Amino acid sequence: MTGAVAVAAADGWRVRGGAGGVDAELDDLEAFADALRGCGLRVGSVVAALGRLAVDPALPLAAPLAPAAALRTAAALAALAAPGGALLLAARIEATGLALGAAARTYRAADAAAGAAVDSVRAAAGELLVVAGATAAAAAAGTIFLGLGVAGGAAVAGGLPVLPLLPALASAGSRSSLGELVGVLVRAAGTAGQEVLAAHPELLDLAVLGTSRLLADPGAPVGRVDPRVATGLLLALGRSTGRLRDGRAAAVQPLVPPPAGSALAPVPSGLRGLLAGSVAVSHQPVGGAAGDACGPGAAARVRVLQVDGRHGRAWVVQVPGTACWSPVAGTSPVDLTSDAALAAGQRSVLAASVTSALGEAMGAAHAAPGEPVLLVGHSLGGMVAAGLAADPGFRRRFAVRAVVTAGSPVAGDPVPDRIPVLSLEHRTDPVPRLDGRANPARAGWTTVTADPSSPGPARDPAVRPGRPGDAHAGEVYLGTAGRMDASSDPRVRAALDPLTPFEATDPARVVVRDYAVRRLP
Amino acid sequence: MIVDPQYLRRMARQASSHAEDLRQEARRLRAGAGVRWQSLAADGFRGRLAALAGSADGAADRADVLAGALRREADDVEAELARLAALARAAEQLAEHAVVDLGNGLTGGAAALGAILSDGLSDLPSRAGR
Repeated sequence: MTGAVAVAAADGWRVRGGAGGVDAELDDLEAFADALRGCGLRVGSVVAALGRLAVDPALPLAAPLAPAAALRTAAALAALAAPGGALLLAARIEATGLALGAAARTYRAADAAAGAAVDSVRAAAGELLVVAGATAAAAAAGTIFLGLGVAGGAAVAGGLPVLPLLPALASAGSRSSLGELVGVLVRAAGTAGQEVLAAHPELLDLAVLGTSRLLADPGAPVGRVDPRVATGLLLALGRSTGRLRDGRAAAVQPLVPPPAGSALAPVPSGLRGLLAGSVAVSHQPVGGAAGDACGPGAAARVRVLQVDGRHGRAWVVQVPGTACWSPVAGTSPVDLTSDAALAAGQRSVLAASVTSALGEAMGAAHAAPGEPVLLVGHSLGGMVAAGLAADPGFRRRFAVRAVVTAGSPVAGDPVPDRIPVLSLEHRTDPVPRLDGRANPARAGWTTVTADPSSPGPARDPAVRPGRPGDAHAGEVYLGTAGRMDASSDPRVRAALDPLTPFEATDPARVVVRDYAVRRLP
Repeated sequence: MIVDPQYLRRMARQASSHAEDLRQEARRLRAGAGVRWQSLAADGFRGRLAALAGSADGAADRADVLAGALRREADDVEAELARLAALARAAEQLAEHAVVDLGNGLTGGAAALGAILSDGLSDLPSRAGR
């Protein structure tokens, strides 16, 4: 396994042509896994010896003679035996050894499967991710995979980590909207092949990380599936199930937009300002009959900004990210069904609706053909943006001049070289890696990878340790965008340069047009 | 049964030795971060190794604290035993002095008693003749 080379930047991010891969020396991993288990045994032996000191009969004899010192000794012994102290250390080291061994076996099994199945690999993006277990590779590894989002529920049996995936998912799903996903996963597991997993070892890494996390905290309660990570689970399904069947796009309906320049409609100034609108519309869905964002009749909000830019009038399309997590398609198209359709390379209702919205907006303004268009989106919105830029039909109708994506798996979108793409990714955000391949490394496609989870200039306290899903949040990407705006890194400046025609020269003249977009059955 | 301070010092040396063992394991854990593995999971793994090594060092520190406490206890026990021994010696000397004094006292008393008795007895014939 080899990984791509990244170029480190002084500002704390990496600028490169695509997301990372997996590079591991499996023999070394297995050897160190054994070493870790030995280490755990030795530490256990030492801790036991220290424990024997605590019950030495000399201590009670000495106590009457030196009561104050005896109290200090007792306190020192208590500190050694404290919960979470040395007594658990040995177990934790051994568990880490087990996890590492499982990781090595997982990689090795996948390598073997890849060799056997390479000819039958299908490239459909919708079949990319088989984080859900029950694959032969997983069984061979003695490990049931689970993605990043499901925490806890692990047991250690027979020296190997075993996670009963489906009950855990079911348990998690009972507290989220993902219960139905379990049934879909069960069916998908039989059709999505191990060859897919084997062909995309980067995805194994996510599974390995999930396993490691579980082992790190085997007592953790079964947690809620992180909806953002559920996007990855969904990609496992893709076209392999009819459950996630996209419908037809309804006619877009103009909405009364919030005032330009308000928090709900930020002025397109700088990368942060351009991206902020995409995050903002994600938080402004149009409620359905029951007033909720995902129920019957609910709609998503797509925004088109008319901007007087440096070179004349320009258009900025801001596409929302996923908000609805049911695998059953509803009327709001910002849902898992759109995720799956886009991941599978299909046109989605959402993409069609964005096309209609832009057409409506430009028509209302009597825009001239060839006025420049910038497509911006976070997560699902970025997938839509890149997908539209890659669509020849869309490009024939609109003059796409740039694309910005944040936290989106877009490597598979064949955006022409002449259209600059700026992709923001966070090192610990699993979502942009879910397509299992690196973004194209070429002059016109810049991928900036920041690490908001580690100490450094890109650190964001909103990203909690051990919670990779946090790094996917739109607000965290806005922080990265703001730092990029302030950066003097010439590569970053070069990546931002194509966006300047879309920045408002006069914020008061920005026209906001919002549209409700719905899916019809 | 009285505890031997040297025994407590041996316990302290054992605790120090265990502390060094734990530090050695911490070094081994940290060395594992150099294993060739680059990925998101590897980053988490290295973070875990660092945490485990830190825990091992922490346990070693606590074992050192225990060793220090045992040494202090040995010192205190030794001092207490010395103080008790000194007390015992003092008591012994006091007892010896008391015996001597008592002996001297008894001797003087007996002499005085003898003199009284002698005087008294010498008076008896004259009193009897009256």
